[in-house]
Amino acid sequence: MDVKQLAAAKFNIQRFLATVFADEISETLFKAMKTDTFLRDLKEVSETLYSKEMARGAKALFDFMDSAGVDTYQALRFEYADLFLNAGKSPVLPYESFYADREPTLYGEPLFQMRESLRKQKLHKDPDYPEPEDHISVEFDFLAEMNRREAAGDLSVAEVRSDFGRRHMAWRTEFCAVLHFSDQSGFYKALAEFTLGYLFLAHLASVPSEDEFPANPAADLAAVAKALETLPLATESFLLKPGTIEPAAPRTIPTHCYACGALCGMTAKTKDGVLMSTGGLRGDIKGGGRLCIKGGNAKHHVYSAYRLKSPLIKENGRFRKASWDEALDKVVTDFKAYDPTKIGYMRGNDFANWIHEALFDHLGCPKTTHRPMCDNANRMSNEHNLSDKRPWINYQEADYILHFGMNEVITSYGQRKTAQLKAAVDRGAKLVVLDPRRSETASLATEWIPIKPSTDAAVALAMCHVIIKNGLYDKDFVANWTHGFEAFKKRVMGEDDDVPKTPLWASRISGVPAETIERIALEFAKATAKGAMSWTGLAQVPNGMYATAALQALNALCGTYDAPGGPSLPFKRKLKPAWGEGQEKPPKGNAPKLDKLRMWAGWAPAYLLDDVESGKLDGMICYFGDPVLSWGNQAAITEAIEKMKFKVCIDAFMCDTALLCDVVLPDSTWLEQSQIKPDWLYEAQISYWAEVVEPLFQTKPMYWITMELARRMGLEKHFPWKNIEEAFENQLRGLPCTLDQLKEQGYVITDKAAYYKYKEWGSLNPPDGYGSSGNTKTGKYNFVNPVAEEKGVDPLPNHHDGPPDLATDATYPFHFGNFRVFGHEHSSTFNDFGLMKANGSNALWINKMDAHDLQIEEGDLVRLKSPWGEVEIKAHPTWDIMPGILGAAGGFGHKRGLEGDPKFPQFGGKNPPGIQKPNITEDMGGTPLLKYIKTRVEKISS
Amino acid sequence: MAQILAYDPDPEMQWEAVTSMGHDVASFSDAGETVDYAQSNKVDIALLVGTEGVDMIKPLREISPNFKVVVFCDAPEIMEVRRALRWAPCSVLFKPIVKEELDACLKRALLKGKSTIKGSLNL
Ligand code: SF4
Repeated sequence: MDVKQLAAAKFNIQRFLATVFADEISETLFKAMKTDTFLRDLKEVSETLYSKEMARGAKALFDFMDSAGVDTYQALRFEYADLFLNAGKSPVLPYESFYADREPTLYGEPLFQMRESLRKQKLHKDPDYPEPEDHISVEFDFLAEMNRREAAGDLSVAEVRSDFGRRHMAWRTEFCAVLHFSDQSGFYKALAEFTLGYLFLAHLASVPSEDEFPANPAADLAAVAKALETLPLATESFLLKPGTIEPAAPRTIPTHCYACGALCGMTAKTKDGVLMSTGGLRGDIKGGGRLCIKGGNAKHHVYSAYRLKSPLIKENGRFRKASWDEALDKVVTDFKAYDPTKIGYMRGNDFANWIHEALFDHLGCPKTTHRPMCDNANRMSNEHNLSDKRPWINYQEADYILHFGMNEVITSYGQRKTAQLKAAVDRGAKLVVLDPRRSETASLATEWIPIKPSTDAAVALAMCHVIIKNGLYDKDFVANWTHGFEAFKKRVMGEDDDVPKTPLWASRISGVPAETIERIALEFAKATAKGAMSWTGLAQVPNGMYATAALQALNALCGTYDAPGGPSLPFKRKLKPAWGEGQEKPPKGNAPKLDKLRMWAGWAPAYLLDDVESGKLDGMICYFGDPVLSWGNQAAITEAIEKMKFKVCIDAFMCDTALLCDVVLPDSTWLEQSQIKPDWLYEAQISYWAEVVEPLFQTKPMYWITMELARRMGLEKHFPWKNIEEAFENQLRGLPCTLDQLKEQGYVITDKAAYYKYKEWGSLNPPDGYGSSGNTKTGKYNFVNPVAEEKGVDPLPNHHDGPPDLATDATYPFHFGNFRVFGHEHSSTFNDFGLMKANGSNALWINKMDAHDLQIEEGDLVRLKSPWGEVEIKAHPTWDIMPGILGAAGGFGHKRGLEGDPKFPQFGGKNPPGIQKPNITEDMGGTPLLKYIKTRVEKISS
Repeated sequence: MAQILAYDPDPEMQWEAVTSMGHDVASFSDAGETVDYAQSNKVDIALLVGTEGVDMIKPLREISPNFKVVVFCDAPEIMEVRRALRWAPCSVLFKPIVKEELDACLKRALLKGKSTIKGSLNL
């Protein structure tokens, strides 16, 4: 056989392989593979080939196609979605970049090599093909094209072809093994055998023939190629286009991190349009030029091999690929079949929220956000007693810092703040942390004070008692800038309820020694530059609102607001509406408030099952966030979503909630879409998020998805922008900042930081044009919560025991609480291989004495049980958690992605908060009780 | 130049393709001798052939958990490739050896200072 004939044979086979892996198998090809002619030819070659490897592959393919029935074609569409579109448990990740290190991050060095190979042949990948250049089909198509040229007489490509084939052979062998392992249909298993047989045969054909070969492998190749001849395959390259595309120039792009809510400034570097690295952004007030491990690993998030790639529609319980048109049409048609006030809209992410919230608010859908999941209890105090949800401490000048139930070192203010806290401790500031667990911040602290969950109000009130009794409060601030001091004093002294809030009283409740409470109260009062603050540790327990009010009372008593070292008042600018002159924002519909808590009404997600069973919710559109893993009792939330008649998920990954939905729309990550935003806390900075790289695969940004949904609903007049930048320009009207400045620098600082701003403002509320999440009706700090008064709720802080059925008892003697780890953000970062290498699993923290009593040792498998569920998890006995308390990092436990992939059994954790009581929250703001779950522990095995 | 341990149960196997690349090759066809050699000599990477070659990875990793290995198949079976990948080889290549291919594989595996091995796949 001459060279040209051999090239023609290889062309046929490679074109076949490129076709079957490039996309779902087409119905036309499937039918052609079912014809008698094809099956006869395939059977014949499988019986006559010399190569037993190739014969095995041909036989496997024959057996499958021969027995394929009427439903097989549809089953293959489902299988394709599972294997190639990351809908399934064990995707095949058909990219050389994955196999180069066997690490599930794409867009690695092989991609650039492949682009260079294409350039040298004056080719480029068809931009309409949504996969990267190192996809197996692009490589097969390239080889096929080289063989086509050679068969047509261009012998100059022989060397290129053989060199390429050799350098890119080994990973395809591994791909076959993965495909064989992962496929459930039999079809792709057969293709894996077929491909492996071909690769080996091509290998034999490429080395000089020796005596040991029973026959010329070229003859086998020709026979296989002939059998494929009847199939309707493209005769020209179908994934490549002629013409050289020069590499895009390297770029350094100022942008911001969105891996967590801290919004640190980020510098993204790209090479040929590919994100190569992320670093800090100099001058940015949030990051201070630094990124944490999550921001630094953003590349692994964007290029995670587990990204959703295409819209998916569920049929008969399985996903299949859909076009955007089909998927969006289905969403709109199905949506219209229901009462919109019974279709919830959940946005776990506020990226460009002005647009998607406007649509769903207009439609009258009840909305929920991260807020009632996080710290709504705290907000019921701070947003009414003060002017902002979370006044953060100016650590630069602090000499005494008091943290209740927060782990600042790893939480979300931003890396500049974290560095300032560390520097403050380094220069001798006293940091006191009250927490049941020695968190990272508690380890850094001068003093860690273990405290029982949900008893913080008692300790803080007792501290107030000491300060008031000793006359150590700031009389000037209290007289001029607070409201309700006398009533508060009576409460603290026990004059209104006969319970003086003494250190001894608090000690009995909290487990904190009375002397310690007295001492830190005196230290705090006498310190010059000080502040106290809290976060979710106080919110995700029964008495969150009052605990927060009691803690903030310490600041109010000592006049620390806006003082050096104290909590700052907000002075950030508000953006203007995205609707400019002549543009009409859609009017709000009549969305019902689903859940009525004592201080707040809205959709409190932990009541999902109640809301569905009582007929308040028929369906849900869920954008980002994973309700199944984060909204409360996992079984109850799952049951609720299963009972819904309409469910759509928009996410970059196949989260557990997406798995339960009927339509899944693939979202672009935050590095593939843009927005402008002021700080979420108090800093006077407007920040820019650049579209650092173009959206991968067929993913789309939420802006685009919303525009398309609106258009299909006939609402385009309310969504009038030519592009997103027109909306940005509108948002910046009248602000001391232009879009060009933002793009160039990444941020603009709008106002100079200042102490005691309230003296100039004449109020603790910022002036018009400045954004804050709260409002004090008196303009002062309210010891007496005015909104609580209106609602008939006790307006003064106090300690309250949790509901009796949540208290620990002889059967369930431990309180479990989840906590955050630095290496992850909620449930959203578990497909980032960089982060998973550092934090790939979670374990149950248990005090060493408790572990000793239960004969539990490090690494033992234990059963964590509550009255409402159980989970098996490895134990981590430690002195860093107080006796009677258990803890574990939250966010773990995904069924899909890296955690669920059986190819990587070393990754994956558990979701212990999923065993909490269903349909319950703290009673003021609807926050789930993630840190107050009564449990027992049983050892399963060592 | 790398110190290479080569094992092929076929005593006829010739490794001159590897020596001609400038590497030092200690070759064996007996499993026990191969492990003995690995225990008492510096080895940068092992080239192991066939099913018996895959079996050899476990004892080599007992000597050093990061022992680098390349597996060669002379009659590749998919279950064999799957089994090999559980052991985190640098690569699974076909026999006969193609010099350019092995060269690229060794260069990547033996990058200066690289002490870790590629990941495994639990297939
Ligand atoms: S703290 Fe880390 S994850 Fe959060 S915004 Fe800053 S760099 Fe990103």
